[in-house]
Amino acid sequence: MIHILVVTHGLMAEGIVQTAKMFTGEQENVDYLSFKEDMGQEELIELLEEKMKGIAKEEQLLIFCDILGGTPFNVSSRYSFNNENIAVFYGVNLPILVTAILSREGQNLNDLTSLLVESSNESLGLSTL
Amino acid sequence: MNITVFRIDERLIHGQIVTAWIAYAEANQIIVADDKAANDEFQKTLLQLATPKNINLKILGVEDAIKMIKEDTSDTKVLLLVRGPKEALQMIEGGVAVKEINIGNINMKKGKTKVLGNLWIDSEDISNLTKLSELGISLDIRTVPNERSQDAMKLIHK
Repeated sequence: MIHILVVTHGLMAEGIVQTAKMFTGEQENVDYLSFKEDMGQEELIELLEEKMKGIAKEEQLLIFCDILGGTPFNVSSRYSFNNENIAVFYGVNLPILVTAILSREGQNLNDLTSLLVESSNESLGLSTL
Repeated sequence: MNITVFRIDERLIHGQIVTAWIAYAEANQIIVADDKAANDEFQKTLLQLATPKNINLKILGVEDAIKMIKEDTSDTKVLLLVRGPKEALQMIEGGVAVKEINIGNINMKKGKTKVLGNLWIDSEDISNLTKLSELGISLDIRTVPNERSQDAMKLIHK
């Protein structure tokens, strides 16, 4: 099963993962990492590498980040560029995270990320009649 | 060009830049003056990815950046980013004219002393910041524009 790791500024990662469980139930291989205000980029790299050590090389990892160009995104992308078993999706929100968790069974990383990109527009909008 | 914000930030382009500083600087262009980034294709790709599509990005070595800034006579508003105090001093001594430098993140590394959560310095940083201050440049510590400005020299010499 594809591993999911949410990496964001501040406590959002922990919050969104806990909240997602209200929709998905307890899940394996869903983890988070918080980039806190007083952390340097190097510390985040160390923590991220620590998390990735727990995942076997042949397994696939989908990293969700909060914002394009943010430090969690910049740091994570270094690992996804040269490794087809790692993907980084930016702009995570609750529906996208829940969809990923519930759709990953039996999927490969490419198919899952394509599905998320296709459905991402539907997760944002204005409530109108 | 018109350098509306000159910032020291070891992370170069990241969340605080993308969400807040570009708008505050009313910048149409970002110049990253950094020898390391200018010679690292991978980091250049990342910096380009991080930059909003409507902003022109130039990544140059420090000396090339100085040359380009001096030669450009347009009124383009520019956000200028360097990695640390050393590069900032190099820019100023090379003739880049600004009155103020914003200090964003100078971060935790072994052997550095904490001044603020976003500001960790060693004796070389202090020497470079002091030289900048002696050249009449005010050193404004703010991670984001809406934060209260603090004077770096006052904090360092406290």
